[in-house]
Amino acid sequence: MSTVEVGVQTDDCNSTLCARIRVGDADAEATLVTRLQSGLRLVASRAAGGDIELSRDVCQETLVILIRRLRTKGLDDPSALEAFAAQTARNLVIAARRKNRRQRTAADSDALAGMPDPRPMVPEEEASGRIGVLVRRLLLELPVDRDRAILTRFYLKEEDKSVICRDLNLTELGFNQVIFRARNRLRQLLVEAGIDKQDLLDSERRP
Amino acid sequence: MSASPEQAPPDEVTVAAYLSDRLSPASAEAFEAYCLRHPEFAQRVEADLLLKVGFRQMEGSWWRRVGGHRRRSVLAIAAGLILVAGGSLLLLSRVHTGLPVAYRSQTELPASLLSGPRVELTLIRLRGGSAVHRIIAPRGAALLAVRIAPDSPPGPGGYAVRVALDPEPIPRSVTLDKLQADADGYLDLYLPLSGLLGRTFRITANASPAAGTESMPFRLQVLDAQNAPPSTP
Repeated sequence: MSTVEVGVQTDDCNSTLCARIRVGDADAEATLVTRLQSGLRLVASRAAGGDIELSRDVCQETLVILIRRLRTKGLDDPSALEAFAAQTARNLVIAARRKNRRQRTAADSDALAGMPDPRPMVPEEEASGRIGVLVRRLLLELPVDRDRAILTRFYLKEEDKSVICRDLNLTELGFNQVIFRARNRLRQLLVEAGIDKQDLLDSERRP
Repeated sequence: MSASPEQAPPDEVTVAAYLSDRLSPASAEAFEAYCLRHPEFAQRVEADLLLKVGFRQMEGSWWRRVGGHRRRSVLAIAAGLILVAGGSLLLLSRVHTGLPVAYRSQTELPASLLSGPRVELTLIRLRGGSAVHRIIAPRGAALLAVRIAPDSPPGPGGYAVRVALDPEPIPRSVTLDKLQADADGYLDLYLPLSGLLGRTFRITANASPAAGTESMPFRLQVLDAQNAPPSTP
């Protein structure tokens, strides 16, 4: 992974952003979402033990809570914006897990089985494995077997980059290019598959 | 942890340790604090996380689809047989011409096939091989709906899928050309069972136009429930 420093956010930036959201600046809200969502999904994913679906739900809920808070009460210390967001996400994961445990204990499985599911019909396996489907597509698109081997060894087998480069007679630059292209392509596929769409702001902006 | 939120970005070793959940809780929180203040860095880490998750899902789904000793078999079929309940018993009215028939979409299907019970099958190859996989069609089923995960990338014209009866002294096959994979990377085709019941046939999906070597075929045999031999353990 490249280690280029990018996008350092200052406390001043936080103060300005919070102030803009307080006066109803929708662009500032969009900026907040863009800035925090990837980081929040990482926070939530680790807290949720790698549950990607839950982490995405928690990220959305955290941003809703954060925006509502900034629109009304604001933060006493805007420099703590990221810490506040992260702790909110962690708390939401804990709450979601408690709720799940309660539901598991009290559920009447027969009654639940008879209840219609209001969600669109998506096979459970398909829904839970959607990212796997996209990665499979990504692999199929790769023109050379060597690139497939690099990605498989790096992401699935968690082999060290230097070992992979040595075995495949690759330069670090060549390795990084394969990884870079894979990340970008996956992002494209996520967007195309509707997994990475943002509907938070639309719903928040509705009167 | 090699970086605080306002210092140099975490190095590759730290990123790998974070993604493998090998950092201490305090180090992981510091890493996440850095990500929250550096969205582009967070996006790269998230992409790496999703690639890892995707690889695990992909491998997991393959292994879930095959069980027991079949995990070592050279070819595995990930199959779900879904019987569409209801519907009256259909008489297989299509005149058997000796040639297999295939449709590329549901819109092409005759009304009799569209409305009747069907067998749905998903084919994914794990490793090369030529074993014949037997499918028992429920009573009254007239249509085999097949989803295929192709082994190779598409050509400029998408894919060509060939259905061929096997073994035949005179080759009898049908080819659907310029098929496009759906959003999940699968090809769909629909085969009337009237010409296939009790016979062994091959389905092969290749890039269109053909480039390089042909993919290995999936070899299938469809039996109706009445005439199927008792299953062996």
